[in-house]
Amino acid sequence: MSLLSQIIQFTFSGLANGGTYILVALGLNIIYNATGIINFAQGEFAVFGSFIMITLCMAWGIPAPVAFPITVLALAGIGALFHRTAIAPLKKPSVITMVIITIGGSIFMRGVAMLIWGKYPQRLDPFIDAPPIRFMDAIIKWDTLLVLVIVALVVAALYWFFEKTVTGKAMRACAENREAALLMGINVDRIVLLSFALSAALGAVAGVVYTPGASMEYGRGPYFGLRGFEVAIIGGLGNSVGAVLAGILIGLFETFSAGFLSPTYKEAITLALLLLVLFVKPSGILGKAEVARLKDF
Amino acid sequence: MDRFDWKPFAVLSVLLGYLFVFGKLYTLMLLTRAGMYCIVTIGMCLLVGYAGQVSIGHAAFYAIGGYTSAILTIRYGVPLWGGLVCAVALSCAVAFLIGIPTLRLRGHYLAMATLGFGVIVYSLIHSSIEFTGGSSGISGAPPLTLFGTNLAEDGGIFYFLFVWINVAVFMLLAGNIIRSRPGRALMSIHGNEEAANAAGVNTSAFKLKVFVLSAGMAAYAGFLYVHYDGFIGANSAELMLSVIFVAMVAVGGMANLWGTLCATVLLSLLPEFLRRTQKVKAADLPDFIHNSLGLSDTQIFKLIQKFQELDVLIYGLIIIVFMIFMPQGIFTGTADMFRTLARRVRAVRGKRRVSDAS
Repeated sequence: MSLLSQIIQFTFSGLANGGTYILVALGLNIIYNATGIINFAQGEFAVFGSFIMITLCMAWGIPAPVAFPITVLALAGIGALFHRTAIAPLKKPSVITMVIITIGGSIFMRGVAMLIWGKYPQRLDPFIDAPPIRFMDAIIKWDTLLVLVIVALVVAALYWFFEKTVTGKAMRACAENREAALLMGINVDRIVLLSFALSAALGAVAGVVYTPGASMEYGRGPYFGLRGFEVAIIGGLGNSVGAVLAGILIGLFETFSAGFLSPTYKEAITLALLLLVLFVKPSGILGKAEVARLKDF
Repeated sequence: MDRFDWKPFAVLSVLLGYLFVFGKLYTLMLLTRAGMYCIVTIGMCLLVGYAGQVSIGHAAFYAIGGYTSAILTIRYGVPLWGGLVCAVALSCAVAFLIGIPTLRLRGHYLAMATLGFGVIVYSLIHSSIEFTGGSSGISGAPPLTLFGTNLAEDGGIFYFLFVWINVAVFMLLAGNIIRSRPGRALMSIHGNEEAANAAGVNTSAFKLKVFVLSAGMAAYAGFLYVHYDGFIGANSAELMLSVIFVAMVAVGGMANLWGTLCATVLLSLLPEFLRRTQKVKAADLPDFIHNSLGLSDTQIFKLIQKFQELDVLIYGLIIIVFMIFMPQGIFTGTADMFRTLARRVRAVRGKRRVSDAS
């Protein structure tokens, strides 16, 4: 393989991975904007989405285009349930209490996933069962392209939702200033509920687009969570445009460092980038220091 | 303000004395491990509970302590105390380097940096096989000896005592820090960092000091662990363990040393307890279950096997339930519960008296 075709190969797989990370990071950002907490169960949402998709497609034989929306809706329900049962009952919610609850929630969901789907990895058939595209020795799977399209569509839809719809604007208002939003007659509690549902649904999409051709196991949640977390921070917590840029950056950086530097130390190298950004520009590549100063977390 | 309170120490020493004399060796072994975690969480309590700085990477310091001492004593024949000094020094130095850029800032940048750092340490331990043994870990660390006696002998009964005396000393130390000027400075940082700064507290210096102290304590616990077990594996640096350390402080009620101690012991014994209550065999089940479910023995065996995996799930559930119903921690929480209970009982009695009179 020539260097150029290697670069093409790495670019595509890096972008596909980055797409997954973007979705996880956007989910993290939505909850962060609504509540000021980091949701540690975000990776588990992705794992659940992936497993539900696997069950629907592989065990029940439901075609993927039908199973996909069902999975996303199911996860939205789980997200809402998580908020209603674990976050909403808090009498005096403080940031740290809520964060610990999401930690407990992630452990709990991991246990549930292990109970339902077992300890062994499960696989999902590729969505498009066609021979891969060959381009200058580089092999690009159709699924990779599909992932990129889905991620682009989801990001576009989110943009439309936050910019054009009343609910989306209300959510942005809550992120900006909770008290002011409350005074303007926005039901903040419902916005938080919606944030959890939306963010779980995004997690589901992330899990689903990650799985075809690969496999999923119950302990994968922290991996998704960590990557999403890294992307969200590098992009500037709560900053969605930053998350998209950082996701592409991290996805590419990860595959290129694994390919050209060292596959063994891929994890450490990728996370070293996070520390570097935190040390040099802690508000993220697009974050503003003034905004960061107002946040609790 | 509040003065030195000797009562909990008295209770602790009576409890330890009782366990030392009558405790089963297995219980003592579990409690020895719990004691090591206590040393970590006492430091974490100062950092998270009092100064309000969350770290999600303390398992990494614990592992750095254990691995440094193990590698030095096994490979290079360094004496134990040398291993100890290097372990604690390295851990403190690393904490210092991470702390300088992140603790300058307000907000939870430390949490983010330590999260990344913790996973880096884990993956380094996991992948640099020739140095750390990778996933198979390092074994054969020499046992801790004190005054010429091997503490790990006789099932480690003296190790149990040694670890818990250490815990008591650290509790004393932490209590003194809290009651003194630095302690008040830490609490002022937690309350309002700008105000603390304005009042002349060098907030970033205090945050850095307490972070380095807690990292050193975690490394010391790691040192104690590796020379007790003789073995240390990559799982000692796992993200999950770091997270559990934070959970222990939170369940203990954040700025509450004794609460943290109780929560640590409870949460470290919990997985073992859950595992044990689930060790039911198919034959032990009453007949009506066999008959009513219409399942064969092997099917029931499989079912039970499934439920034995519940421990992870229950662990998560307990953390959630604690945070919802006792956000003030097990110590204050239980006390509050009894108080409300007593008030209710009194109210009911009062009503009865009124209705008797009329």
